[in-house]
Amino acid sequence: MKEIVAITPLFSISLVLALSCYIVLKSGEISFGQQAFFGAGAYSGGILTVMFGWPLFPALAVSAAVGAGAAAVIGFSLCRVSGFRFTLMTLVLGEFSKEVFAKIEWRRAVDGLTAGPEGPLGFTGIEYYYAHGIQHGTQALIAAAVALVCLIAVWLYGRTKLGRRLVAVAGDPTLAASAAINPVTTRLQAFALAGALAGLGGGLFAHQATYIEASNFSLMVGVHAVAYTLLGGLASVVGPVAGTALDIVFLEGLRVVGAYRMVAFGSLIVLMLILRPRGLLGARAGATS
Amino acid sequence: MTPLMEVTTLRKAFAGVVALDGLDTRIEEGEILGLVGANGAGKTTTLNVIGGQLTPDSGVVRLAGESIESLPPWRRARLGVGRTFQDSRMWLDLTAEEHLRIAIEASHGHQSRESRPDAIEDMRSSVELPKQMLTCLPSQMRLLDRRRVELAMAALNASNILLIDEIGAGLDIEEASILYRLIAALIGRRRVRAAVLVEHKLELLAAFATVIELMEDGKVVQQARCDDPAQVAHLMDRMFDRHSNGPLKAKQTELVP
Repeated sequence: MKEIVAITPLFSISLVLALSCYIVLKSGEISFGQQAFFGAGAYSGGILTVMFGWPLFPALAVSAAVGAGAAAVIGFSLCRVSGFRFTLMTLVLGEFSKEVFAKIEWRRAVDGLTAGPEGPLGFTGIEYYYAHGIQHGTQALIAAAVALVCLIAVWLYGRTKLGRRLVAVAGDPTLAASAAINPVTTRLQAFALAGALAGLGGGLFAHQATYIEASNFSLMVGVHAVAYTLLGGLASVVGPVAGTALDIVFLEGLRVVGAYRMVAFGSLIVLMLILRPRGLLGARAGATS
Repeated sequence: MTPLMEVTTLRKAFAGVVALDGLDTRIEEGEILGLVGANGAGKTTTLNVIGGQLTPDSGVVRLAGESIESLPPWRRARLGVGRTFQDSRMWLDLTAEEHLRIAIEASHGHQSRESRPDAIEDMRSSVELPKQMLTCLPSQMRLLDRRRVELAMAALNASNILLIDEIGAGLDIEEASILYRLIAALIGRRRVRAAVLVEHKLELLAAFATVIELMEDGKVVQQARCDDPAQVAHLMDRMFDRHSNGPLKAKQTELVP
């Protein structure tokens, strides 16, 4: 039980970020930059609870809104390119925003002490849970509930008109356009939703970690989130869940091999890609091409 | 009266290679225009420029008097320009029914909430797609049925005009004529107001088209009305003369003084 409580927040936050990548992958693109929106959500959520005394859930809602807004602004140009160019641009976005996070410096007096992000020194004291006496069990419950809501939201999205259009645009943009679908708008909507999920996940992460800094939002975070999803497969939202579970179980389980953990993990991914190129649960054709 | 669609002095070049060189054509309501010509004459480019898959370097495309040549393809589709492609194009991971549903949703936008099952059934029957095919993926369907789905999708958006690029390619003449009969029926029932067909099987065009235009080097060089067999025969003469031994003959006469 203790182990479950300990691993649930990490699993839930990773899952929310993986769902963000899942939507981008469903649009036919690979983004290595979702950690940018994750970070934007983390900083904005933390700033609101720590510096302005906001309650957690409204702050998380703003995290999601910041993620969506940032994704919509960037998506305006990003969603006009595809394939290799798209991925390259997200890579640049991720690295760029990491630099930006290291520059965020905003101090404000709260209860006689100054609080807020301190640029390269990071953002300490995001202690909402501690200050409100929220125990580990409840924290795990909050994280799991948020992840569940995201999971249901993404599942529902896939069943709407917008979700079908996204599959159409990802599968064949020319055919979609000749069927009166605007490919850019369709992809932009999906990208904003993916940004909202990443922002929300980031908000949760900040409060779970209590301390964030730019290096929390490095390229590897985004790459891992894409890997979870690809490991699980793109056939349905169960893919990211299975992929995240597999990744976390192995990544945590592989601590016994010490410093070789990442080597072992990398080998595992290579093995998976050879044995199950469409992910653990498979994907219908065309989703990633 | 303004024609349903009018194309004036269209030019399009790809890296110096001229694909359309001042193309002029028009199509009236209720007509089927057949485009013929050798490979590279500019037939598919013509459809791409009308459908919006390509933007012309210069020239005007008018649909019911409105110039549409600078609009993106999805806007033209909403205005009623429907398109099928030379290579059968479907979404590999979606069933026939999902194809029809996506096309219905996109063309109706948010304006109507008409009963979907009816709309799908209506589309299905308009192209005589067997009912059991609705739940099939493209890989489970024979080419003729895939073409039926593509035609239904294009016809849904084409309250104005259908652009059909070699829908009979890969099919035998009987199968292809089934599709042409469906297109003629769509026009007959005013589901579609006109169609432009690119086709290599001339006998099909002679049977179904209103007008046939012969394209050479990016422009229309000869027109034949299909109700006049003499005109059709004349057009065929020119087409086969030029493209079987015409250029060779020309060269020989140049070489021999």
